[in-house]
Amino acid sequence: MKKWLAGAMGIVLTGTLLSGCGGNAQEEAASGGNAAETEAASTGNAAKEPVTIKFMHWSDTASESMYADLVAAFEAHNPDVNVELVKSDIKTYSEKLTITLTGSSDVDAFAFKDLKEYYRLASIGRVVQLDDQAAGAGDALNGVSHLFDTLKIDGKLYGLPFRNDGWALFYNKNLFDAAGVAYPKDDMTWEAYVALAKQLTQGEGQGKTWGSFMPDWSQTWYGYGQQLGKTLFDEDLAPYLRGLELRKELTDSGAQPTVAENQATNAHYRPVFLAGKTAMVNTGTWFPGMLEQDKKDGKLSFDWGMTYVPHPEGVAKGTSMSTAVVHSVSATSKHKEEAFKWLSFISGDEGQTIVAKYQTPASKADGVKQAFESNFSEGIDMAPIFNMTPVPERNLQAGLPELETIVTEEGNRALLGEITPDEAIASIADRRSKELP
Amino acid sequence: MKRAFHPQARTAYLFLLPNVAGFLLFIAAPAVMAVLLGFTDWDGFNPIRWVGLDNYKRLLTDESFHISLVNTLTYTALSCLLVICASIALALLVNRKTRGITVFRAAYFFPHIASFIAVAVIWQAIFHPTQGPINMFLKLFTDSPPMWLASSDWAMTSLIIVTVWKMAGYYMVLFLAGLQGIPEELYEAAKIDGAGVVRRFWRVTLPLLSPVTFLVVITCIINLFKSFDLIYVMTAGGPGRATSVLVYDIYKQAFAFNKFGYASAEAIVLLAIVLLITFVQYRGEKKWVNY
Repeated sequence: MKKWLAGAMGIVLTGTLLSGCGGNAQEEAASGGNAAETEAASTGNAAKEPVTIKFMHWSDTASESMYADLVAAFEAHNPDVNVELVKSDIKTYSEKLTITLTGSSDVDAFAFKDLKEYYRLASIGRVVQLDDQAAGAGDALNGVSHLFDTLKIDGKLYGLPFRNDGWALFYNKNLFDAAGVAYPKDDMTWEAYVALAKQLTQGEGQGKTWGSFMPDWSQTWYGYGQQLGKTLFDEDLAPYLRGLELRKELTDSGAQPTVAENQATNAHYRPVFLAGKTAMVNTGTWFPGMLEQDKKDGKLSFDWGMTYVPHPEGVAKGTSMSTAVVHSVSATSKHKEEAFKWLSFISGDEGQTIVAKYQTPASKADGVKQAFESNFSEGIDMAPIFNMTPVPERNLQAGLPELETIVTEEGNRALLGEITPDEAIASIADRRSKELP
Repeated sequence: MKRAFHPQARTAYLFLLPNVAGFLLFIAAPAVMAVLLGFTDWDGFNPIRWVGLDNYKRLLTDESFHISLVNTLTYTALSCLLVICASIALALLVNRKTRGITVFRAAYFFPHIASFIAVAVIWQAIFHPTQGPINMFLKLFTDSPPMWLASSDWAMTSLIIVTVWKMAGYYMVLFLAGLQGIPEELYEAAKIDGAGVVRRFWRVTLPLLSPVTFLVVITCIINLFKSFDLIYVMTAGGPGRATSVLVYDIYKQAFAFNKFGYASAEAIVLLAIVLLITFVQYRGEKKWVNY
């Protein structure tokens, strides 16, 4: 009995060990053999055989038809390249992307949900460095090249900007009119914003109207420091303290739902704003596109306005965090050239004009701007989108993913009232020194 | 050692087989590969580099790992204890031949088959700090009811409540089977000897349920050590790191920080703990399990 069991265990263990080693060996062989395969692929191109590239992106209602339009336009110009879209749900997109890339997948290019993810995979060389190709593309990328510097990691570019969003303040004109309060000014400090939010908060319980609503993201408080031109990697984190204090004052005073309440109901600013439950929303410049859609769908029953996001005392008006949606080429792609062709098309003028119909384009080209503007109803001031002074929302440096986790965890503890903002900032500095690579 | 392979022990192996087979196939086999990865600094893409014991050395000083380890042990111990108490209680309740009893049995079993994700979202609403039904009720008695998931002090308690609710039904079925295997004569004999309800429970029911209890303790602990989905959806390890358990930390290290090697080392520690606990239970088995 004993021998039988030991024998069986032995076989199982050896089997798994072998399969483990075998798997690794295969993977190494695959990555080693890439150069040869790429070469083979490019010789194939010379003969103009149609190539199919796989492009992975997250899907939501807006992006699905946008990418479909882009593929149609691209294929019309490039009959020798077909684009196959690989879609994934937005909530688990980053994990899905990691798994797809870790397994031996043949995805050639993909979108990054945020710059933290971009940094995470670019910093380990999972995507192709694009400096030379971007420079070689000439005028084609002029509309988006102003963003290249914000995407460089150690001076190297790993992706092409596709969409670019800043932050803006959105308000429900009807609620302001009803309260007899003047609409928010375009040059407002955060202190003034908090005061205004308190002034517009009305009612109790189910009938309550909030003065302000923001996503639970930590940017909503650390943005204060970013607007001052600081980074969370700085030795001195004191500039961030005031942002956290003001963010906490909003919820503590009841002018904005608490993080605890939002988490319990998975609350999102879009339905809250549409229901007329909040006078102001502070979020990204993708929001007006959603609101126009809601207007077409008959879900929007009031007039809304948009203005510059509030700023710390002494900072110029219109200073806003800004962040891009980036596309990159997989380092293991067998069709890197075609993949880049596709990415530069959708980041180029023609592609960006299509993007502008659905979301905030990255391009500053005039035609693209006009296309974007034509989506919106008369009377909406587009200055917060076109004239903002961008500061980076994330600083692309080693340790970014870890730091962001620390900032979120400690910031949340402060917002939930478990520690003071002072303690949270101290704790971030302390953990940062211990946990960053 | 010889006694471990006694014919009676064979029955035990048979009882353990479903669990152990699943364990070998779904945990041990990937774990063997993870053992190897645990000695590397693999980032999910670049060539694998051997770093010896570096990952394990870092675990010794990693605060997030320590917090997660303590959380895992607390969560597992308390949940397991409560799951067993609750499932025995439920099994006793439904172990009768009343009309319509199957409806109740099905109702108690239902949480087990419900999706963890759906359950988590509903419980989030139930735990809502101001509008949730629990706190609406508690406000009748106190001005400051607990913040549940939004409080470091209560988040773990909230998770344990949901876990017990979710798991008790399944183990109830196991205990029910155990209860129905106890011969009626034993209760009659005990009654004649003058044993009351309480004494019959402690002296007849509980000892004769011990084989089932043993099985339940082992599977329950293993399941709880692996908990992830509930925590991922309900608290994401928060507030702060108050409900970060080992599997959640492993996920974070691998998927948020690209540290697949380090995450593997952490997974090995988890595996070692589960193995150790199972081994200890197994050694202690004959002290309290009656067949």
